[in-house]
Amino acid sequence: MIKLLHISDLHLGKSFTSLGEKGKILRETQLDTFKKIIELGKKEGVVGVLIAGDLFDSNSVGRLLDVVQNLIKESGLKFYILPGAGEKGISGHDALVPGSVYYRESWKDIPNAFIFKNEDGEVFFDSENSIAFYGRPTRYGESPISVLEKHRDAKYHIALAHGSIAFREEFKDYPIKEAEIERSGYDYIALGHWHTFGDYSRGRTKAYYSGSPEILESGSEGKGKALLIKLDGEVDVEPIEVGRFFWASYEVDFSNDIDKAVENINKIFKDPPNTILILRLKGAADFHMLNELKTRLKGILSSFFHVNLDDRSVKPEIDISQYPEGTVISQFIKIMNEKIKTAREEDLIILRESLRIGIGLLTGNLDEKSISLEDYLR
Amino acid sequence: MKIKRLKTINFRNLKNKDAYEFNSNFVVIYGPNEAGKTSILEAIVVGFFEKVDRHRTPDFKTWGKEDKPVIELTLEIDEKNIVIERNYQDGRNYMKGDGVDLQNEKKIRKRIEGLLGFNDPDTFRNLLTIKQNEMANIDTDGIQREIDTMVTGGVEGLSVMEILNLLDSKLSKERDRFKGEDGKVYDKICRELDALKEKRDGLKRDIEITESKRQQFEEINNALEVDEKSIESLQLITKWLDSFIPYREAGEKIDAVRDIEARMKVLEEDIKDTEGSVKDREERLKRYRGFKEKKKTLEEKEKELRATQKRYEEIIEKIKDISGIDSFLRNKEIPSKGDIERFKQLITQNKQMESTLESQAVSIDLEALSDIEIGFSGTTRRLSSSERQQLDIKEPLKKISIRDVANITIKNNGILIASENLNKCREQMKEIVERFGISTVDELEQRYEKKLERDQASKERDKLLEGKTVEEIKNTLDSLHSDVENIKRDTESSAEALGDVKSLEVEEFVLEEDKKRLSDKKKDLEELKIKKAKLLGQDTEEDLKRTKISQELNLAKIEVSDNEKDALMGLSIADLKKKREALSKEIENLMKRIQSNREKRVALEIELKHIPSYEELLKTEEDIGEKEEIKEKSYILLKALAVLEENLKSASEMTRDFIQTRINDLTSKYFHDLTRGKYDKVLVSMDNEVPIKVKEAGSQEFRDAVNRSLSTGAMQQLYFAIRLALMGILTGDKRLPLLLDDPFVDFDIERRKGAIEILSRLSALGYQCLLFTCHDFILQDLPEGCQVIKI
Repeated sequence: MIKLLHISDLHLGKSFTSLGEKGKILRETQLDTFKKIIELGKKEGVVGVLIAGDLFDSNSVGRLLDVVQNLIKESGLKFYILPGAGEKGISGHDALVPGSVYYRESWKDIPNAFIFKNEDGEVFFDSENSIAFYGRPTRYGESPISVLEKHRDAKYHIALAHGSIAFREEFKDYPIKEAEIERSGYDYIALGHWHTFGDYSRGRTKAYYSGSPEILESGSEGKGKALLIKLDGEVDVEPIEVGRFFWASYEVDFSNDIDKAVENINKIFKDPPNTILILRLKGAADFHMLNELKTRLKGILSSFFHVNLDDRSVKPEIDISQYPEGTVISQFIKIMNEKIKTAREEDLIILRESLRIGIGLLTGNLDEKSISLEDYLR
Repeated sequence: MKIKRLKTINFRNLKNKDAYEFNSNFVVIYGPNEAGKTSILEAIVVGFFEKVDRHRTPDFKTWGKEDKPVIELTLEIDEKNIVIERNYQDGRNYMKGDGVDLQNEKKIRKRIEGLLGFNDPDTFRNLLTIKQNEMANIDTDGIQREIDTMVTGGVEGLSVMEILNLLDSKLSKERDRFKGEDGKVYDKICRELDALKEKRDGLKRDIEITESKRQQFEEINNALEVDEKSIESLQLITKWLDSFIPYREAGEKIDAVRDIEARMKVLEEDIKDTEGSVKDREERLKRYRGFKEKKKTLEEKEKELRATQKRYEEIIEKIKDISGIDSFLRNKEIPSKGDIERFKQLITQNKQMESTLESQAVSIDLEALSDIEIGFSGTTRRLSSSERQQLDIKEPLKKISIRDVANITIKNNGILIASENLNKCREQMKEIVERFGISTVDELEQRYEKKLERDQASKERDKLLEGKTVEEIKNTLDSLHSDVENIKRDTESSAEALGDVKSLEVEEFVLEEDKKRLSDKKKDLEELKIKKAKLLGQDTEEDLKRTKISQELNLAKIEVSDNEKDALMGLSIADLKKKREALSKEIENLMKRIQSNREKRVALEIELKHIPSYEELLKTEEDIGEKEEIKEKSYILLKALAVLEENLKSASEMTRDFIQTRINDLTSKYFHDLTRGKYDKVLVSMDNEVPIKVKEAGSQEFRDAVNRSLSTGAMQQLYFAIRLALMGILTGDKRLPLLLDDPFVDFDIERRKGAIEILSRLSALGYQCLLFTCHDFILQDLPEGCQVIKI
């Protein structure tokens, strides 16, 4: 049985602006995960590691390139690398543009790295294992699937493609039609560009997104994966978790049972030190409820690697009957509610915050300190 | 809300046993002074608001009693009872009923706040209690405070003014730019963000510069590699050319020398030929001249011979040729005249006999000779049947000629006789014929005449021949003829020998031309010799060959691609030399470029040793992200505060207007009813100069109610009207109980009645009115259904 590893979208060297100081740890973890993949490849005895684009987050890589090249070189594994997306050198990812990281001279010293640099596509043939690897760098608006003549001596035809399955209109950056997969005649297409695992096999062609091996943002289930491809007449795909961090988002709705929701945080997230949690609070809550919840969560959330607490969707709970007509507070609530009703989406947050602070100050639930910027930010 | 019941233990001067049940919406608590009316009022306030402090004995404990007080206040809300207990004995607070069972004071207070709309005793006192001692003067500041309280919503928060002052300190006049106290913080954040962005941009620039330098470095490196390779190849080509050019030159010289030599050879041969031709021509000319002479002689001799010939020919012409006759006559007997005559006779006889025979023969029965033809003198005819019968012909005969006739035995005798004569004649004739060998007489005559002719000719010839024989003359003539022919031939051959040469002059001209050409060719040959010498110079052809071979050996050692060789081989030596020169220049330029690129590379290598920190860039990006979030939050807060200020102001103004109108309307109504229609308008203003104005019915003029004072009674009625209005407006739908501590003492009967009517109306609307009084005349005016508790 012949084995391959398929990964994509590592985005090594990415900046994580929402994580502040912890971004550095995440970058180090990305490299650790890459090392883990190499070890996995060695353990499984793979004959090639397929990287379907976005190995680097950008073409500005600094010394990171030396590190990655050393890892590749020393691994002894064959790496088939497809450049990634992006039209401009520094603002895109690791696209094959003038100044691309893949044009560096230093690659010449790494004989086990095979980079698809021919704009019309090219084939690398592993004669020992009778596998032909096909790839073409991405071009905006064009399908990245190579239409190349199949290698005559190859038993297996494996393609790498960096693009989007164009089942929705907006996926038009590097669109891949499902019929294209079916017609391609490849045994396996290693897809990249989307950061989550997905099976898009059609007809006799198996096609998978491996997703990022180290998850980069919320929206992915579980940890990042590498795909172990087994060729034994048939093509078998086995996803293997290699990433460290979970990215999770969790919602606490004040209109539901808060106690249960809080209790669930403890139950759902088994590995808080390796979890990055986006905790969204929503529903309507008054000051007491919000503060009480925040106090309760403080202890629970401290064990997480990072928590982004987002209470922007919490609407101030207002019981208008509490405030008799003819009082400022009732008049104020009336004015603000009218404004909120007709406000543009971008103004809503300001109006709601204004309403919340106004009620807080008028009812004595907020004091002078709470509208002092330094305290507010704290 | 109604106050349903009040039970107290050890509370001021109230008796422990007593429990006050308030069963109506209009309750009058009547009792003399110090009976405990004010204590009841106080106990109600304590019941609502006074949290039990177990470490303190409250000052409302009944004097002289050991035990601490207990106040139990029962409220009826929507027909359900809630009991509030302030138990100083067990140190606890309770709230029970309607599904509520609370002991936590915070929660109790929260609940009470929910019921009342406020949770402090002062508001309770200010809003819900009207005391007789407060009514002497209208406290405009107090009213102001009340209104302010109303404007803030009557809860524990800050007043609008306080909030607005606070916001003012937070926000500048130019709110959007946030230049207030917090604006400074915001500015600081912005500045920090700008600084971070500047730092990020700087780092990016540095990285971009480094990237571009690195790219430059790689480009230079590539260029150097290319240049070094191409200089190597150019040097190789140059080296190759350095051998190829002399090789080609030697080869070309050898070829040129050989060509010259070949041309020389051709020239030499040509010269030789031309010389031969000149010589030939000279000889030919000489011969021509001889031919010419000879021809002339021959022509003369020919002339001479032809004359002789002519003479002989004339002789021969004249001499009859008797050779024919001779040959005719040869071996033939010449008849005599008589022979001829004899023969003629015989012929005639024969003819006659034949004719006779013929005629006789015709009568012969020749029946048997059916097949015999008969004829004479060439004429034949078939025998008629009768003729055949006459002839005794045993044998069938095919033909029978007249000559045969003689031999035929013809029965007829006559014919036989005639035939015998004829046969004799014919024998004679046959004799002559056989003798002379002729058949006709003409032949015989001809022979005779020929003999005569020969004899005549012989005579004449002898005369002409002058002793010579004809043979001799003929021989002479033949020889002459042959001589003439010879001379003619000689002449012709001479003429032929002269060929196409039209004339000797032409021939001579041609000869001269040939000589001239010969001389030119010799000159050419000389020139070629010089050229060859020049070509060879110091070298010999062997030298050139040696050079060629040695350069060829060199060329074999230089590895230049076939394509390049092919391209170069197609060039001329001049072009090759130009190429060689161009290559030298190119190599020189390349050397310069390589040198310059090497220097640049070294410089870039040094520069690239310092690589800007990508990590720092990433960290800065992350800091920016964080700062952006802070900025956004700050922006939202400051913007929200600005929105709050603006809207709170307008809410406050709108509330103020609303309250103002309602206070004025309600106060006017109450004052109108209390004064029995004397006054119909009251203006309660926040303007301190003239805070309250009143207008009498029918008048257009408002007067200052405070400074141009009304009567005491009217002032108290005005105050009462204002308090009622404020209470009504503030408590709104809550219908809170109103506690009145003997407020009508100074009212005249009519106006007191008016006041009772108002309370009666309020109680009918659901406002519980608890009127405390020590004056029995009050009791006289009470409406039906009013509960009176006497204490």
